[in-house]
Amino acid sequence: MSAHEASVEVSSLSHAYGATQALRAVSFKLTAGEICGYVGPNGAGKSTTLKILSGLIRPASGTVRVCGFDVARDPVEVKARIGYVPESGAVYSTLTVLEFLSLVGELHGIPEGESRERLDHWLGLFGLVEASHAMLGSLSKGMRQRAVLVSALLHDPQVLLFDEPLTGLDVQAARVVKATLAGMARAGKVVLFSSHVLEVVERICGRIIMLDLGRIVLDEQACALRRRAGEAGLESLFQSLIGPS
Amino acid sequence: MTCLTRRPGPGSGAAWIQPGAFRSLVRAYLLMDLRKQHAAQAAAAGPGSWVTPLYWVVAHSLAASAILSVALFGRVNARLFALAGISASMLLMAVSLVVEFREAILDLDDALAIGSRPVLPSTHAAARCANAAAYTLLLTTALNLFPAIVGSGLRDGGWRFLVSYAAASLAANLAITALALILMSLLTRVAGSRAAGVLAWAQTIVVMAGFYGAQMVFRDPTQGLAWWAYNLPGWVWWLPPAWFAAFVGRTCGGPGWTEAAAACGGVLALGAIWAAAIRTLSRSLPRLSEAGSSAPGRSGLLGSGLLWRRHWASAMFRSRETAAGFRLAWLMLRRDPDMIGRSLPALGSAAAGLALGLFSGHAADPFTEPGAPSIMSFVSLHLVVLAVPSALHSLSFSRDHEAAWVLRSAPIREPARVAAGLEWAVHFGLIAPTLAVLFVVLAWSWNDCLHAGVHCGTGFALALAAGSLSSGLLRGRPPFSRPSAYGSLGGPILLHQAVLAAALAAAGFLQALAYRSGAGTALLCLAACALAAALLGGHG
Repeated sequence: MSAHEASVEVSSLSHAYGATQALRAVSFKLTAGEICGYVGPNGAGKSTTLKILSGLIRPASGTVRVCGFDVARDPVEVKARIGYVPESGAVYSTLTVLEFLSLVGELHGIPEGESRERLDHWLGLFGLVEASHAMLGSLSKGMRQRAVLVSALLHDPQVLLFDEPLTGLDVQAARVVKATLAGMARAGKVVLFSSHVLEVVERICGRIIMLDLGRIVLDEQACALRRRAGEAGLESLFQSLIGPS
Repeated sequence: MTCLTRRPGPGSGAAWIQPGAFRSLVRAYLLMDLRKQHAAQAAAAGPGSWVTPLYWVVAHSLAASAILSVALFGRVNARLFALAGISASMLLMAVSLVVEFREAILDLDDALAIGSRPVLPSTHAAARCANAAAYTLLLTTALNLFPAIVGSGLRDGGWRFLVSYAAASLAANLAITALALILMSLLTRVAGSRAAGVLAWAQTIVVMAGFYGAQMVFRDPTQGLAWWAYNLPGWVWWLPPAWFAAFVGRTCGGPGWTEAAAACGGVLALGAIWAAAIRTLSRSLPRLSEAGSSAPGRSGLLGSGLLWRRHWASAMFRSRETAAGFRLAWLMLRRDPDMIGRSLPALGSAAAGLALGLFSGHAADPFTEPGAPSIMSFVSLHLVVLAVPSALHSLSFSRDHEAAWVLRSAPIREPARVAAGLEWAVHFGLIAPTLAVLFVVLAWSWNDCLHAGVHCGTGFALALAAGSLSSGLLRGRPPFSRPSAYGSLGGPILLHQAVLAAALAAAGFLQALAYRSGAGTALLCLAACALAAALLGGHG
């Protein structure tokens, strides 16, 4: 694996919020072209993993390497290579869509001309052209989420870290996201897709990692899982793994 | 939401305030406020983070009232002492309510959290009023502790002063809180999302008036104040603080039936005004939820990206981080109503200083009339410079603080460069326009563009230096990443501002000295240019 090839390597990752242990020695590897579903019940540690991968919080112990760069040692190199969609989908409500995305482009050092071309492409794809001069605070949650998704894709990242990316999206936009992720994987990117919606994860992810109480309880290829689950379906299988709680 | 817009039906008419919901809401509001204090303390990166923001506001209030008490002690009688103390207390209370506690009363998130619950608007409004009343009690104690104790030491004071002043100041502050609630509610109902901007301007005017009144106490070495105080114009006694002061004055002389009746009437009036406040707020709550969701749909020309298109900002700054920080802060300073509300009042005192100088004849040309006649020319300039730290500090906070993930997850090599961009936004967006206005007024007043230009140009160099000294206020966390807790906007930077004010006093002395000769002025201009070039070059 070359130093800059799209990859994610998590090794013995642990993190705690005060007395609450959020992650307990989590380890996994994702290679180029993989779309990995990251599932688990509420409080399992999914968002914490994604926040650590994107350099938003520092892990208590363990190592995380993105595209060969250590998140703790080279956070800027890592951030330049990831596209992150947070669970909150929060945006600056007093900026317009265009200003918000232009800010993101500037922070990622995309030259202005190139930024405009990319914006035209993504705004068109996500149906944001009409709303591009509207303030984010005046838009619906779904439209704001589209802007957040574009902000994660604008700089052509090698690793996509999506935390509940389909929240608030209509069917059309959700289809665009799924198609985009598939295209990204074909282009050799890594996608870590965290979601509660098992149907979506099952449909678009080639591999599924399941987390419960900060531990990985399952890490398998989706097709193998489907075979194992049989007629009962993945939901029943997952339920059996995490128990009645 | 439906509940907020629904009027109580015939069945619910009797329960104007639902006791259970009221208790739960008040408990939740107070609990959240206290936790926000600790969160703000834990999140603060600057000096003074070992105390919670609210302590700073209390300390600020204690200090202001102590200074006023000492300044007036022995110079005026009990009634005038009470008048000054209660007036200052009401003024500072009104300012605190608008600056720090506005969100406690008109919290836009309320509409989402409570709008769909079976809570009557009147119950919700009463809980918010109780929340505000809790802070009124705290601040009343801080603002009146010293005046009550010091005033009881006056010749015509005594223990009766202590008791009557405590009661009168509490009533006065509760009354001003209720009035502020009514005005803010009405403003929200009328102006909707523009209410914050209108409040910012109103606050600027209040700060101007307060500054004008406060400086008179200190600029009175000849007992003129005492003379004026004993011969107050008749209209002064028609003002509300004078009613409370008259009550204190009369009670000190031995309370009688008249005072007892006045006290009873006062309590009844206070009850009525609070009932009116609850009623007005409950009627404004539906509009509040609309105000929260009715951000202007399109960007206006003033805040438009047209003014600072990306390539202009990029051309101005070598670093993309600085350019991005500049553009973000520039847009926020123009569009975010909370941001406008925090940055404008700091400049209000500068406007007050200038107005005061012009009206009192103390804003003369310091190049031709050095000394006392030109003292306010320096003061107004330095008050503009003093606005720099408070504006920079305010850029740490935002209602959209959760959106800070954008900056946190961006590949920023040197966060200090983003902070530098914010500094420039403050210098070019707030300070430079204010200095330009100051220049125009002074040039007109002095009839000398060159002198006004040198004076304001030196001020800009000082503002750049103040920005550089205050850049620590932005370090440690990305901008707009902190939710505001009560007291966090003004309190924690008081020490910083005090040190800066002392440094500016020294700079003012040097400025005045340099203005006396052509060579000195030339040297000053050179020094200011060198300082500005070094700071501009360092950040740009």
